[in-house]
Amino acid sequence: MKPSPLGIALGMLLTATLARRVLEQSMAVHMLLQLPLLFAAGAFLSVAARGKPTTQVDAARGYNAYGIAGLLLASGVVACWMVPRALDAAVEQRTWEVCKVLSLAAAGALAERSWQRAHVMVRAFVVGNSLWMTATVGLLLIDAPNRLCANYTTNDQGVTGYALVGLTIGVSAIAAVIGGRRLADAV
Amino acid sequence: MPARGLIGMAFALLVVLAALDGATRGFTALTSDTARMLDVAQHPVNVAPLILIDARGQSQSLGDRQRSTIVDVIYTRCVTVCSELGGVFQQLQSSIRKRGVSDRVRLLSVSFDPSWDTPERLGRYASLMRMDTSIWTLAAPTDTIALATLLRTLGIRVIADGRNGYVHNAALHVVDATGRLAAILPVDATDEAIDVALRHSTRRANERGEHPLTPPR
Repeated sequence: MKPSPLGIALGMLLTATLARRVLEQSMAVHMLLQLPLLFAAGAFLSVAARGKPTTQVDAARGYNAYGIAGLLLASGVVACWMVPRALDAAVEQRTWEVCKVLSLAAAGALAERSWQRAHVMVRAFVVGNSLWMTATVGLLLIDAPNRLCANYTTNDQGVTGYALVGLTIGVSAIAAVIGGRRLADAV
Repeated sequence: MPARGLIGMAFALLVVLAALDGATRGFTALTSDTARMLDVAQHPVNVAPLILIDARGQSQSLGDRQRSTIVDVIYTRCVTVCSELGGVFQQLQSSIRKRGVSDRVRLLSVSFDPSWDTPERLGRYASLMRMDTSIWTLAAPTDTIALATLLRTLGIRVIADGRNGYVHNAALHVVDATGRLAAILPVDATDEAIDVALRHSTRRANERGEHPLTPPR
């Protein structure tokens, strides 16, 4: 049986929230697994809702021309959760944690919706920008002389930095292959 | 691009700015330590009273009746940040002596590991650090719930380092004579910490109608 998008979304959401204590034990897992899980859960929710009558969403469509506004908003939300203070607050305070879950899931859903409508140039810009942002955060974490999160060790911080840079390199390679193929097809 | 599209983008930009504003405390703090420092500087907070037992087995409180107190939080087994803090406090001790302000500022090191840091072990650490007991007190709380409250007020997080020790953030906390946390300063701001502590003891003298030694800012 093929899993339904809604099932996947709920599975991701439940994993990310119920196992939060375990996932948030380490900075690397927090940033590279829990945050992406929440974002992906939102994206799958959006897929699940596709084709359903969503009049309000359709009405808002004009405001999200080429998906630019949506993608801008989604990447801005992700950027907020790269701030060490926000990570600390999410670990320590329930309100921040709820904000994190809701905002990242919403960002994922919005990004999925907008991605479908985005021109290839917009897509390339968004991917390039996100990769640049992730790599920068990674390098900052590697270079930081101090502990940035009060809830995580310096060692953990360094591992997270290298993991973020590694992720950037991996995703860049994949994006280059996909982009290259598209270009080859176009020619 | 249609006008609606532009409105949408402007709205998205505003929301992102507002969210970043929230995450960074109005673009002033990237870390929770900085945010706590700025919060306390704006609104000093009352520290819940707690009883500490010093190396001689005598009870101590966080605020001193006469003097401002510069507080740090340590555990005596610590070999990393606490030894750095120990050095900083030795420097503070000699500065206080040199400036002749020991009647207005004192130092207090609080252990967050009371099960290990018995008065006897505190005493050993105190002599190792060459603490002058008229200036510098080392003590551990008796109540773990009160300790947790204190750590929360000070903004100190203690996490296990996986090697039977702890990792914790460090700062200089200035508590005035009324037991109010007046300021949090980075560990290298020793002179500034004494200045702030003096300012708060001066203010207290003013309130009582005494002549302050230095005019308040």
